[in-house]
Amino acid sequence: MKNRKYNRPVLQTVLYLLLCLLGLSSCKKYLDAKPDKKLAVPESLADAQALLDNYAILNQFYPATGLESDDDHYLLPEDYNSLGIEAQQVYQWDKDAANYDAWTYLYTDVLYANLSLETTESVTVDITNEKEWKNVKGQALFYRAFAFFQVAEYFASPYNTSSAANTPGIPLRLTSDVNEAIARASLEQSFARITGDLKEAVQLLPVSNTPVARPAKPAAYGLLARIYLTMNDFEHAGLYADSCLQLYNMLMDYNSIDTTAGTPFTVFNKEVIWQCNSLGSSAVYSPTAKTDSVLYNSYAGNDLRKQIFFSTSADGTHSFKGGYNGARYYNFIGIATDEMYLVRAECEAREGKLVEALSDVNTLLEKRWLTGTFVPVTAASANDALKIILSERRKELTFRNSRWFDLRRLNEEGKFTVTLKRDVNGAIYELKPGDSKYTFLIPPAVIGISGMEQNVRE
Amino acid sequence: MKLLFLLAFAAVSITCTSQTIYGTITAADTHEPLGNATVRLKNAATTTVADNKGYFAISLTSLPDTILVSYTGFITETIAIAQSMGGQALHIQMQRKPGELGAVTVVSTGYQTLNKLRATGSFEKIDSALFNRAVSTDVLSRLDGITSGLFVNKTTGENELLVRGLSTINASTAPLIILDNFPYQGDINNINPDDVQSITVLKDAAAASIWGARAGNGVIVINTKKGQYNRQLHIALNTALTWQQKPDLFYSRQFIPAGDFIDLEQYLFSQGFYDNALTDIYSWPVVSPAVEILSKQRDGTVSQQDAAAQLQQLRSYDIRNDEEKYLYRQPLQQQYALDVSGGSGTLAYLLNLGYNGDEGQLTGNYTNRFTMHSSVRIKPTKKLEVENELFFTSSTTVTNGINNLTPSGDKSNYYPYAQLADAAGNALALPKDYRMAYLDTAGQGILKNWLYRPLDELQYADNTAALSDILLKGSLRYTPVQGLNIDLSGQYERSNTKGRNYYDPATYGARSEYNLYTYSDGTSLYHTIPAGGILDNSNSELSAYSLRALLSYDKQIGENGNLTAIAGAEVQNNHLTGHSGRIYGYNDASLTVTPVDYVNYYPLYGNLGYGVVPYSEDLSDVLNRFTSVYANAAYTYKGCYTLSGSVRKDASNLFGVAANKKGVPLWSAGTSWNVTHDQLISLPWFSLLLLRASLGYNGNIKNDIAAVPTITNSSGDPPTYLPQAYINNLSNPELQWEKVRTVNIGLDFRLHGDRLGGTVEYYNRKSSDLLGATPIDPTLGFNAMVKNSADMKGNGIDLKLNYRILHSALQWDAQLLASYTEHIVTKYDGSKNYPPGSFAGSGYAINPLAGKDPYALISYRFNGLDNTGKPVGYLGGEKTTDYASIVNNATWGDMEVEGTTRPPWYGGLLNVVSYHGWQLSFNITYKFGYVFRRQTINYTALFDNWYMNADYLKRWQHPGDEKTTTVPALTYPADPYMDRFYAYSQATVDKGGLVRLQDINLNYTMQNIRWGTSHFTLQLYVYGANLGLLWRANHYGIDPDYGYGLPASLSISFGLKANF
Repeated sequence: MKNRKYNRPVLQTVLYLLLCLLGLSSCKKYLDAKPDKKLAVPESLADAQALLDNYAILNQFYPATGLESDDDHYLLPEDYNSLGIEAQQVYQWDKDAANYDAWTYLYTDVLYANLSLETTESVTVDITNEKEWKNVKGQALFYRAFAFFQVAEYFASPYNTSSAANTPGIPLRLTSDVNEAIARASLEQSFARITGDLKEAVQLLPVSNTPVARPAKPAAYGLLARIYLTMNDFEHAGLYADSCLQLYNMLMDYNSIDTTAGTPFTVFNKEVIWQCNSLGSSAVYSPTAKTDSVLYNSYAGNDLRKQIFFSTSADGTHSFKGGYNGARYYNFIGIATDEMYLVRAECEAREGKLVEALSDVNTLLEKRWLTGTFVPVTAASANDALKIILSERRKELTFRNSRWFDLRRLNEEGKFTVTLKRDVNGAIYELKPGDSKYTFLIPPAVIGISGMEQNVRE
Repeated sequence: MKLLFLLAFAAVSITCTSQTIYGTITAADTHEPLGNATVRLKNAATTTVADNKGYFAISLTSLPDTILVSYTGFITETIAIAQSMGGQALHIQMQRKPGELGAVTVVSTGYQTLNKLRATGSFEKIDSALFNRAVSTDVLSRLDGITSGLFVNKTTGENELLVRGLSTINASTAPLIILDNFPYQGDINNINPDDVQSITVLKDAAAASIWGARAGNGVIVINTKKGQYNRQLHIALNTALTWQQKPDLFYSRQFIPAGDFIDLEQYLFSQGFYDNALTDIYSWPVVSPAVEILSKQRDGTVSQQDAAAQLQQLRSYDIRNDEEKYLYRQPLQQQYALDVSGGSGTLAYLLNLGYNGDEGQLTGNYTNRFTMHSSVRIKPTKKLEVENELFFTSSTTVTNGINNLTPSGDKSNYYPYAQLADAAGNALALPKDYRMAYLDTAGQGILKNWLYRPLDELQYADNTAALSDILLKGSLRYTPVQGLNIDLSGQYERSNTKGRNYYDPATYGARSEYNLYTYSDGTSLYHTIPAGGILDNSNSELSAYSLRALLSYDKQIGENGNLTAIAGAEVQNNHLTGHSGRIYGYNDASLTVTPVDYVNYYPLYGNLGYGVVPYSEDLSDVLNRFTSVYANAAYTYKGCYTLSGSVRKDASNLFGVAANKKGVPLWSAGTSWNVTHDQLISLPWFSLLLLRASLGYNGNIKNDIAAVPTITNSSGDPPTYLPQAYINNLSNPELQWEKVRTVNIGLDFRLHGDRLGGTVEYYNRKSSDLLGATPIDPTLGFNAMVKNSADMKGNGIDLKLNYRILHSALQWDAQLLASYTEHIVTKYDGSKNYPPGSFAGSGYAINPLAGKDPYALISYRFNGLDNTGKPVGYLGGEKTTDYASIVNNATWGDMEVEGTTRPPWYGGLLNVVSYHGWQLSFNITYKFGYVFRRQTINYTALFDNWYMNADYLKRWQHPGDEKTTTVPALTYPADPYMDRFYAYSQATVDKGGLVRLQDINLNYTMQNIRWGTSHFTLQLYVYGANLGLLWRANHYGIDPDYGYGLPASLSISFGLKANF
């Protein structure tokens, strides 16, 4: 009896403790602790900016597809043989070339931009954060437009104002929601969204951002110029290139560059308006990718680009080494002042403004030739000037992923068409102007799951 | 009956009416003293109990009389005493009941101890005698070959423990490890095996489901030694010295003799294969000395005659000789353990101390470990018991050895004629990172020496990890009324690991970084990385606690019923933090550091490009919390019918997964029928017949899933260094934990005479809601998402038989283990749309495909070589040599499913032979019914990466060779598709059966050695492990247990155990 009385409080305490533990096991707060400090559900402007500051994704996770398919380079047989089948198809303009990687890379960039946008829009704007809010949103819109634009250039037909409304464009994914239905918009809607988003970005972005991995107002103008050029809308392209150069127009003098250096340029150099690189691909990795000998020979002896851009191998072949990214395994695809000078020059020439066009191209070339050897180019007509500008454009922007886009728009225009040829282990492949193979197939894995419309093959 | 030496035949008067009989009682097989054995005199009807050293003394009142000695699990000994013993001691060796080797009647689940005769689940108990047959410094490796249903996979280079095969596809396959009632959070290698009392493996749902959502892979319950109440002071000492051979580098087929390799290099050189590398002045890729010689010969700087002589010299070298001589040694391992225990009526104590000093096979590697375990149990009152335990481990691991000699870049290993030292033993340089011709001359006089001499590196290496781990346990057991216990227990663990990898300024690592980050502006030199050493630091800390409240009830109900039940709740919190980083310009003597610029790009030396100084500061902070409530109950009627059931619910803080918090409780139910105790049935042959059946669910947790979109924040990378975020996953609110349903039917039996006994079990397992990456439309931004999208089923049989073959002075016991496991993936969305050719592979990685074994080995069909040495495959059923098409477009008709790479049949045969004090035991293990893929030649990798394989020597060279070989001819340029096709074709598949002599233990025990006034027992033993294969199915001399690695080399231990 006595014993029992003595035990009761102890028993009660024990039961109480037991109840506490039972209570704890259903306690929400205890289990709401963050499992990993590095993990977060994105909710702040800092999170939205951190998503965009992912350099490996938003400044580097882009396909080199244009480079793989263009006529500035070729591969030796053993290097061709070691390519994956998909890369081989892209290289030889196979009718089944689909390029799964390009699609996944670009829509990864779209997802980052969308999640960043959603995060930004969930943050209330007030006087303390307005500047930052606008900046982040502007960058996100820029990135999404940049990715959409490339999807359109690889997976939709070249832009033609008269048919764009009835041509399939690209899926415009505008949210991060997994359950949102996916279908292709028309080409007109696609480009309207891309240019519309960029024009909004122009309003939101500051005049400069540091580092230049973050796009600012000049980058948005520059991208608009590039896009309007591929749409063969030279009036807008020229205007936006001019707006861009109004804000930033520095050029490097190649006389101060070490011509023997393996990687003569660094990232964030003086000409870079917005830094962006495509991912390395064994098809375009230097020195595997060999520069087309006609292109190489088109550089004059005193043109410094000949030595700065190219290395020569034992077998006499040439490889590109002059990317604006300080490495030989990525290729610069961002926006730089040299491209803007060339866009403005081209648009001026097309509008018949011969003097302005020659002035722009000479401003650029003067910085590219050995001091004291440069003779300014002249042209009898705006059309002659245009030919010179297009040739300089190819020389200046080689390995920038612009050649493929130029081939597409020039074919569509019909004045400067070329037929591309590849010799693969004795087999000759040709790509004629306007061929439907200038547009890749949407990867079957995408069609298989989403059921979206496939591109046609003639 | 066993009476070993009864030396009492002195003719002494028998008139003496009172004398004392004394002696010792030990187990005949393990020679362990049997404390608490009961000694009874039949006529005198007096009883005594042996002390913990097995020592007893009992007074004889009249002659003759008979002594009866009994002990649980042993056959009762009957010794007739006809005449006076004349003061001689009796040394009684008790025979274990057959069927009791490795099986004891009480098993532990970590929550309670159960009588096996009333259990419904599948428990496999390894007692200390069986456990201690083997010599090792860790606990888990000893279970291999002696545990029914446990498979140890070594093909990955580590010991992967699988209880009854596979229950998951993408989550961890590791069983849950319980140390003294709580999940062990630290590294299980911290536990000293000499401190282990017993191990129980919980195999089915009824046994394991009390551990709920983490028990899907089975549970291994480790109980350490404890002090016992009412025992005298007991001291045990165990020491072992283990000697091991060097690894046999000549076993590896990844080699081509120097002469053949140089012939190949000459051929490739003549084809211009090296021309780009030899002229690449931007990255200076590594080329071999033979190619340097050929290049000099072509340039005319070396005469043809000299070049030939130099090449001839190289042909005579074999890098394996140098590696065996300079990089490996025959390591010696030392183990010491001291165990002190005892107890009074209210206090029990134990102190276990251990020290291991292990040299590694690699020169420069060693590990020291000190362990301490103390346990104190106090009964302040009859109803209260308090227990306190402390585990402490301190270890230092030094890894200065060189185990992968590699030139880095795209080369996987060195050329076969590489030399580590000259004839006089002086260290020689090998090309590393850059071409030797560049390193030899680069920055002469300006830079530090840029040569890599492996043997010098061995001198300067300083790579250490120091661990200290403290585990505190406390419990309070209160028994308010008979049969009811209230337990409150908890544990706290804190473990700290400090890593230090110091690159002395003289090391290649420090010199190379310094040189690479040096540049010149034409007039002066700048060093982006300062001179001095480089220090890589890391620090990780685990702090974990668990708290548990448990009610348990064990009560006789009515005349025939017995009810046991537990109910409890617990919380667990594991917090892991870490930090790692690098310091440049570090002076180890004065601890001074020089800052560097991590942000800006600087030119690298020569033409090597631009670079930023590598920045590696990293912090981590991970917190896992679990809460659980659970209960189980078992009711036994008339000692023969048992019904049991259990239920458990777990919750955790895993990110955003709603299922973590509202998961369905996991449950189990079981029943057993002890036929031998059933009075309604009389069994003529059996002394035990027990039937069991159970059904229930366990779970599997995967820590890295989340149901809401989450991002990972990460420090910036060059060139921006801005804080950045990665998207981990898209929203997926339907995610839930994996579930495993197990049905188990078991039969335990023992025949009369107790010489033959055993257990047979059948199980069927269905894993559902398994997590797998499932393809989604890449337009969503991810091409796959983790979903509960896979199912798998499996079934198997575990058989264990014990047979006493000889039962006399020479005693011979055998234990046979046989297990069969098979699995089929019934659903796997992740690989639904993959082309058939993508499933061809090495077979060592899981290869899930609906309708197939998860480790199915799949090959391209192979039709020999054609008369030009090209391997012939199939495409659309037609023979072809278009390898790119085969690889990309093969249909299932062009492929062959060869079988599984995980042995479905496995087990062992353990024999124990005893004669007087001698005991010899050896274990033979086997694996049957599987296949494996040999590595073979890959010409692309041979040319580019120096990847070698002995099949090169068997390659097709002349027409007609196709009749005797399947190895394709060498072609230049190499065709990577041909390489892939051949490597993964039927030609490289072999049968994987093997029979292994697992280990041998020979020991001799001397009983009752007098030392002053006390007695002690001494055992000397020799133990051999890694003794090699007795039989293998393949004809290539390959030991498939070790995958593509080297088999463990022979080790022999000499040891001594003393019990005071």
